[in-house]
Amino acid sequence: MTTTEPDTKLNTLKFWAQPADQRDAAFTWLRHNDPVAWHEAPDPIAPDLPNEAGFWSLTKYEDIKYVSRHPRLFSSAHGVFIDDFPQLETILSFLVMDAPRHTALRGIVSSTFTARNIRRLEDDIARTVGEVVADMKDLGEGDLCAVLAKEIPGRIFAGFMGITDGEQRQAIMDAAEQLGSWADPEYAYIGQPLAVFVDAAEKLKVICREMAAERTAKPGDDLLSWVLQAEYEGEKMTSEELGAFFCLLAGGTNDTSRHSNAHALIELAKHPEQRAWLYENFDERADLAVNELLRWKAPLMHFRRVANQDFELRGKTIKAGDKVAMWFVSGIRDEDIFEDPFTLNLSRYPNPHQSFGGGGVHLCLGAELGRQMLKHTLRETERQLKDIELGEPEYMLSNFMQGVMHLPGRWKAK
Amino acid sequence: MKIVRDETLCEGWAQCVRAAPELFELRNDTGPVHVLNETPPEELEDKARIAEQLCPRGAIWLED
Repeated sequence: MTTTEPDTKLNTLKFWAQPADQRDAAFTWLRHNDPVAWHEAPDPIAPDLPNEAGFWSLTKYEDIKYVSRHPRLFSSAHGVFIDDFPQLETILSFLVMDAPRHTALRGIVSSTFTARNIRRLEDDIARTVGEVVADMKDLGEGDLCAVLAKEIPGRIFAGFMGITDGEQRQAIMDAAEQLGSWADPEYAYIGQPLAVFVDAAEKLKVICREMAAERTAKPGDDLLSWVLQAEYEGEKMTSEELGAFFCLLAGGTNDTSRHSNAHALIELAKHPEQRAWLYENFDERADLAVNELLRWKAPLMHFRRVANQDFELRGKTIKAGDKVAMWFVSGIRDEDIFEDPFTLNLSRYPNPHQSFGGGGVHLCLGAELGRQMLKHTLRETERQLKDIELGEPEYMLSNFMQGVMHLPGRWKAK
Repeated sequence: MKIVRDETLCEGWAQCVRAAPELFELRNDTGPVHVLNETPPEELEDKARIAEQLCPRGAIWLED
């Protein structure tokens, strides 16, 4: 057991500016010494809008799982980040709702993303990823985030939405990146974190309105056309509801997957023996490897809930109305669940990681799509590229997304 | 051991099918996973436990 307390102030951006292994050490300390810890209100997201309240930090796997799977006790309707973004529902739709509204809205798109349908689409996903790699393989050098990691989910999302215009696709990818980067210095020129977030959402909503007008006039065989004709509470979605829905799908698809692609490249380069094991028998080992890479570097580090009633947990009393953060990034290192959690072991099985959340009704809708994208990224980079040399990655500053902003690299085409 | 599956929670993610194809199957184009054998023989009990653990929706649980 660790005896000296590291910096565990998860509410400060200073904490998140530390390297990942120092943050991991803090989470280990919390799991061992204060698994239901109270943290004061996070650093403000705007000068005139201080975060209202502190939050409980859950760092044990089983606690995270319990809270995730009891949505009647722990509500999503009052925000899902430790930061208090106002009117978040108008930006992230059913992510910030409880039943029955959540069930109805999620239900409109859930069948598109479930395992059955994504497997049916696997050939399309493989082809799109192959095209992205083919387009960048002769460049020789560049930012692997821009030309590869971000481009892959960007084109997949465009495919789902029936987007053929390259500029529109790029605008969505850039806005989706910005949406998750609210605290990163790269976007500070736009303003305070709240301004960065709202500005990104506005950009996505403008694109959504343009596309909705086009698809209403001429419906296609795409997800947006489907959503436009779907009914919610007996009526079609309002423009506002549709915009939020679009922001959620664009952010969820583009940003998380882009970061897991980048992490996978970095981590496989750091663990050549694991990399060799994977490619020795890729077809049989890819599914296991993908799950472990997702456990190893969870892009999404937390979601939070609000307790609907008083709740006793490990000797602490969480009061009705209290914010409760589920630190997935800690759950996936929980020694009580994972053997050698600090070892990357691509053959790990079973691997019930929490990188798509702790399970239950808010389970990541893109889980299977995310797995498939990462699998084909691993396949196509190996098939088409060689002599990949990575420079120093630039990691995102965030209390929410474990992200990679830039990944300089050199490579050759095979 | 008895396998119970909540079909309102199941979205067909098929993690149980991967974990225990002897016990679970995706049959139709839509709808929940099908339980092939609600009372698994002893040698499949470990696989049933993994299926329960891996179900991301919490739609499967085991009763004595």
